[in-house]
Amino acid sequence: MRKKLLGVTLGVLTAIGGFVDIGDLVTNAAVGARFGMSLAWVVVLGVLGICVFAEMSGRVAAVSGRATFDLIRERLGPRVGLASLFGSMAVTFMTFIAEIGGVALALTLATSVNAFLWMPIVGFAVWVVLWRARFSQIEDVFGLMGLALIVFGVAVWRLGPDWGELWHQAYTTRRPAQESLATYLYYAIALFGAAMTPYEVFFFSSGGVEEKWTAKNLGLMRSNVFLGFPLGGLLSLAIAACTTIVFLPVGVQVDTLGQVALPVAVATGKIGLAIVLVGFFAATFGAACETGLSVGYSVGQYFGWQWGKFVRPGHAARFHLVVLLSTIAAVAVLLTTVDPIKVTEYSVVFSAIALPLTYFPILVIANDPDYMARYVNGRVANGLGTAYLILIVVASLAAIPLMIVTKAGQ
Amino acid sequence: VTGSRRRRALPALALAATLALGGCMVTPATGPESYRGKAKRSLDDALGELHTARITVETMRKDRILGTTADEIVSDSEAALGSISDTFGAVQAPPESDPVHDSTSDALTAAADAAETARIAVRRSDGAAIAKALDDLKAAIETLTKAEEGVA
Repeated sequence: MRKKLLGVTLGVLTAIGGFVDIGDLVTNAAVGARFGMSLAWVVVLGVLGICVFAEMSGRVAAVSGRATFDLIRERLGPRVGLASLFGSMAVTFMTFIAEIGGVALALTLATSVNAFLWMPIVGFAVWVVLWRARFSQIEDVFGLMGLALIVFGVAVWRLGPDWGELWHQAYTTRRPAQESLATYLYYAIALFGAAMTPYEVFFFSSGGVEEKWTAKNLGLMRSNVFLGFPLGGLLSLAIAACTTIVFLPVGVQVDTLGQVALPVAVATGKIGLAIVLVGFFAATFGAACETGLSVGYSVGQYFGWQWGKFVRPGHAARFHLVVLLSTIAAVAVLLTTVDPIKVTEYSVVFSAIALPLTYFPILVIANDPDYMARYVNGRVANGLGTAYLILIVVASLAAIPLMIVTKAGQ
Repeated sequence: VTGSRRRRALPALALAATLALGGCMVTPATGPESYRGKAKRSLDDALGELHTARITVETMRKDRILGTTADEIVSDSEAALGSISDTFGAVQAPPESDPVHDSTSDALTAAADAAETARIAVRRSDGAAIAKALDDLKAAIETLTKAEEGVA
């Protein structure tokens, strides 16, 4: 019993610490500085959405013993499978680039060594970890280190905000007078995309296969999803609250990772800043590992290769080759001197565009009794899944027109 | 084959057009009102960068921020101010907009100078220089605010 409780606690803690990545850090901070807490409802909506689909894909993995792409191709055919693979992988690779860039930026904030010097080193370190470390080690170490980001919550409290005003902004959802409706909606879609990034679901379900989940693990999986993810969502809200309090009154726009950390330094001093830098490193490095693995997972699963870290690297050579090549390609893209924060801003919007390609197949498979037997979706899961699918399609269709109209949120 | 290639090229073209239209270009001013809008936007952005530098320098003065982090934040603000100034400078001013051009350019130059002073002071961790840099930043913020009121 005690061992089981420990397992649940560890799972929930790593889910909280692993929830936030570079997309959440940058988007929540940027939104807080420009719109205050008026877009908090999107975070709530996005977290509920990721809970619905992560539970579905985790259940599929636990019951069928097979991961998402493995089943998408078999159930929906190679064409739909390829469309899903292409859309999701493009966004996941873009996120992978942003995460490696994010690690480099975090290290630069701590050392003042130019981020472009860090990028190849970070890429190499990510590859070594993906090659050598065990799956559970990656998940636990970076998930637990990511809990350092709780310092954002402490910072909000130390900044002594007008709680009534923050709550008023959140529940009235009223945008600031200087912001247009199109910009408000563009950032709403970016936040939604950041919360529902496709790789999180692929990583979650593939992780279930790596850890050999069965139907007996459904309780543990659900506790991770329904406790860990919402508590991780609270971290996102704390990040937005920090920039709302410090930056919104003076009209600062957040464009750098340093600006995301600044309110924590104002509130908690050097110790808090050191903790938040550890949190940045853990969140981005952990997410770099997750996105790197997700690229390998999706390609390996689609083509039916042996994949994963539960077998020796030599037995999943093509999977590890994809991971290695994507790591090299990600570092090469970053060394063109592209701004990782800009990559992040685009990746969360393109993530929203690719969402239907990821989540529609999961909904179909979770309803197939051939795979799921008595564990098919119930009414609540189907009701929420369908409602979210409609929302996802609307967000996906609106994203590019809004990007053009608002000049990418300017 | 040609049709198939075209179909394959379309998403790439759409993506390129989206990124271009999405904010990677400097668009020309179509008249005095448009130019005024661009000036206001540049001053707004510059004010945000100066406030970032001010908050950082104030925090450093209280010894509440790591020198490396403060250096990065202020350097980023300085680089952003340079970019804002270059972007505004690249827009051709209509003849009747010379006063707007002059006041905006002067204010942006003052902002860039103040950020440069702040970066030097922060990198040297020199208490007296940091105090002076803070005063310069506040003065530049005042100049930008006045210029913005004038443009509006």
